[in-house]
Amino acid sequence: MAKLLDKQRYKCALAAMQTVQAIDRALPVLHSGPGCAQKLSDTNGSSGYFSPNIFPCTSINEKDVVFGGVKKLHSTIDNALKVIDADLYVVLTGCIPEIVGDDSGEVVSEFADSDKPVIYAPTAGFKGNNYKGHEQVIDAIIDQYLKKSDTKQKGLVNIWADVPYQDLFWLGNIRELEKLVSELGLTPNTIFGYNRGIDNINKIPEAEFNLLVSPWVGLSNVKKLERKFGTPYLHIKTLPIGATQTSAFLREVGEFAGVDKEKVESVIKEHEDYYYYLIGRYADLFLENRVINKQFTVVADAQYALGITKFLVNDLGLVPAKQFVVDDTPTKYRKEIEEEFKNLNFGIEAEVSFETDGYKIHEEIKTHDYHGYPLVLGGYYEKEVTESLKGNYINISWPVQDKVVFDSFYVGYAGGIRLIEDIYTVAVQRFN
Amino acid sequence: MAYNIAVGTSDGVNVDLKFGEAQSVYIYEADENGFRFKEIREVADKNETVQNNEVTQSGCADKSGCTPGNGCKGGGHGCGGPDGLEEKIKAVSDCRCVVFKKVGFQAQKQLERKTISVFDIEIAIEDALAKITDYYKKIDNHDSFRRV
Repeated sequence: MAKLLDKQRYKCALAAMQTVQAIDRALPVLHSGPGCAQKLSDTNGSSGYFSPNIFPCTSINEKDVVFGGVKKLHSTIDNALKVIDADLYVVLTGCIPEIVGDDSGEVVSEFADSDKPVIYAPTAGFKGNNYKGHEQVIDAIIDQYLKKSDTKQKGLVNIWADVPYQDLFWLGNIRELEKLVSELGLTPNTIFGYNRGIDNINKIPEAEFNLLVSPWVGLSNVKKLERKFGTPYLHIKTLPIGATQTSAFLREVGEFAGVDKEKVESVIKEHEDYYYYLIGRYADLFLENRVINKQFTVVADAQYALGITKFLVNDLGLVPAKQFVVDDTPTKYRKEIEEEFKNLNFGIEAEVSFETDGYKIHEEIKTHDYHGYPLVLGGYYEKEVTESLKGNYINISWPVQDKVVFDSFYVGYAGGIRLIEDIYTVAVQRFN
Repeated sequence: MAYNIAVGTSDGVNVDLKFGEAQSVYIYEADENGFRFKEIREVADKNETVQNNEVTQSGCADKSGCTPGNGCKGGGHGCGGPDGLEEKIKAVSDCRCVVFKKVGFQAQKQLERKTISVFDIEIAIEDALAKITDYYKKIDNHDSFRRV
């Protein structure tokens, strides 16, 4: 039976153009119908040097469905190379050309000798959502652009984490992860955001290891990097938010990279001292049991659902109600992620549901007994249902409508404090 | 159900005429089972000077700009497009689509208004019609476009 598209939590695979856009001076070239990029013009920081409204596009129509659109694709790439100054051109295909069978890979291969690299990622919507599309773009970079390096740079670590723009905090988060990793004496290498780009991409094969901070997105990429370049990877499933997870993160990375234990512990101590100094200053607020909700629910992609659940349980001592993972996690990863939700301090286990149907999620939120007002951290869709339950609501996952995020972040010690600020700012408003 | 296709050709073999320059078009009749030549249809009044090939021909090249005879509203052909265009579109209005070497912007918009698809392509008529009829067959039967 056909499923209703209710409260869409992600975009089609072609929205991987956001992943391309996040790479400085990389340009998506779309082989799709006109308007496929328009959905990304959502004023979430998506303008800039290149923006969705100006991405070159073949704008294919009925004629190209009948006669094929490869000629148009060829001329679009050709002219993009002539008039747009970019470092990397990534051709992304939409549904139509892939259904009618345009051989876009063949067209792109004709540009193998051009001055600038042109690569191609199949991102038809029917192949999956933009989490999969993100992986396709990284795969394309690995397969079609990167070359094996003879040298490995000691201490160089590629960090892979959030899906840019899908996670509004992607920029701040990746910078904070870089900062934490560099405090261990390692050299972080990331490809997204300001002042990163083709040079950083070129360094990927030289890394000593890949660090993946994500429950499942990107796992296939780091495995591919291991196969192609022999670079080992460390997979940390939980986005570290707050002291408990961040300290665990630093210990795990430190051990994997062979960093001196004392060095790791001294970094942790410095951060934790300040972290708990801040917590201590607000202990009266935390201990005032009327202020914060007894139970919480996170409605987000696996990355945020897991990271925030661990933070709220381990650091703030809240009790999890049901958690909802809405990124259409591939079935093969679900079991492991479920296990992670059971791996919480104080013997607490969180129930998790992989559900993309917003109606069902809301029904469950409405019928659950939160022992008082619920705390819901989710997409904008959860605002209304939480308000109807007089609960506290924070918009942390896509779609984000009531927040402007430049480069703030929830990752690390500082990020945990930011999240506490955000949650308690909402909570105290109830009484003031 | 059977439908008509208008083709711009000078020799009955290749699609080689622009919509604007065509004095007559070949009409093919098509249905689920294929297509066949039906008739040659006059689409322009030969006594009238047809100046509607392209905007460049009837408009700007004629150094007169917006004076009567070619520009906006001049000569009584504002929104209807250049001279003879309306007539020509009326002449193919029983067709499901038109196949020409080139179709000007004005004409395309006018045809789209009548839900007549425009295919501007230079190709042998046989090939064009084979692809187009296959496409319509799939649409009409809700079949996949996937090429096997």
